[in-house]
Amino acid sequence: MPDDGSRIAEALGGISTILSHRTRLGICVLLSRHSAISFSRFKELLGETDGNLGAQLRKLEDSGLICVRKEFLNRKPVSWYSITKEGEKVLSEHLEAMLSLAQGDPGSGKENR
Amino acid sequence: MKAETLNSDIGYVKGLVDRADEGGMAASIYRLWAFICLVGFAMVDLLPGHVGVFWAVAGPAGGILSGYLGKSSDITRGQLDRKAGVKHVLHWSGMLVFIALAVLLAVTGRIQGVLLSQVIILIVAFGWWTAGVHFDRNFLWISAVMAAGYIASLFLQKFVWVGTGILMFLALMIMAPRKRGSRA
Repeated sequence: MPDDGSRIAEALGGISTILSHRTRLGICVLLSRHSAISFSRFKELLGETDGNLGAQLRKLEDSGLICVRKEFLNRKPVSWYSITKEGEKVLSEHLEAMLSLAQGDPGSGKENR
Repeated sequence: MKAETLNSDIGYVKGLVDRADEGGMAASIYRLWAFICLVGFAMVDLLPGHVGVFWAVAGPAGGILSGYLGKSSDITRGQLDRKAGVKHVLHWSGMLVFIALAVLLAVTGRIQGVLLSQVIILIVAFGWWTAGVHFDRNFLWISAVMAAGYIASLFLQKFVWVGTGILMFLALMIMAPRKRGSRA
């Protein structure tokens, strides 16, 4: 049976570096529950500035966790964000590890990202 | 990573999820069904011969229009949810199918007139109740109004359906969400 130290290390392995930022974590959790969310809606829900939100979304996009689709609605550009399969996998592992650590029962860790 | 930070992050995410889920169904859908129910229920008392035709057209057409209004509202809000859309379609179209099956009781001469209306309102009330459990808590109250209308129809003879239609209209108009996200 592994000791507490190795169990914690194992759970920490499931923690994703990119999702350790709470705004990015929030974005991915919201996208896991809704098929697509627009930039404006994110801004409303997260209360972030355009610049900060854009930067966090770009980091997630560059990591391959989310994807963006741009279209025009009433002649205005709208960016729709969705989570990728990879994003769903990383988020699931991250949340599992977070819950294990928060409950003091680590033991579900996967590879580190 | 500290337990406090983790708990704080979990609380933050939970708050976000709750905020994203606020708002429920589009107000335009409530208003659409408020008018359909007002006319459709009142017709049982006022124009009983045309009730079947009205619901045969208004039921499916209202369903399709609701889907369109829901999608438009989601786009305006900037939050799309395909899974929830599929659930709504399955739920409400399923209810329509069971109403059509109940109509077979009248077509084959097993029940007639008001009794068919009573059977249908029970099916619809149950459908709205389960919608209240799964989609929007407001529907539980609308289901209760329908159940009250059904009970009233067992004991009263005149204008029960007009009264139920008015109550349904008022309940749906009052419960229509005041505000939903403003732009995509």
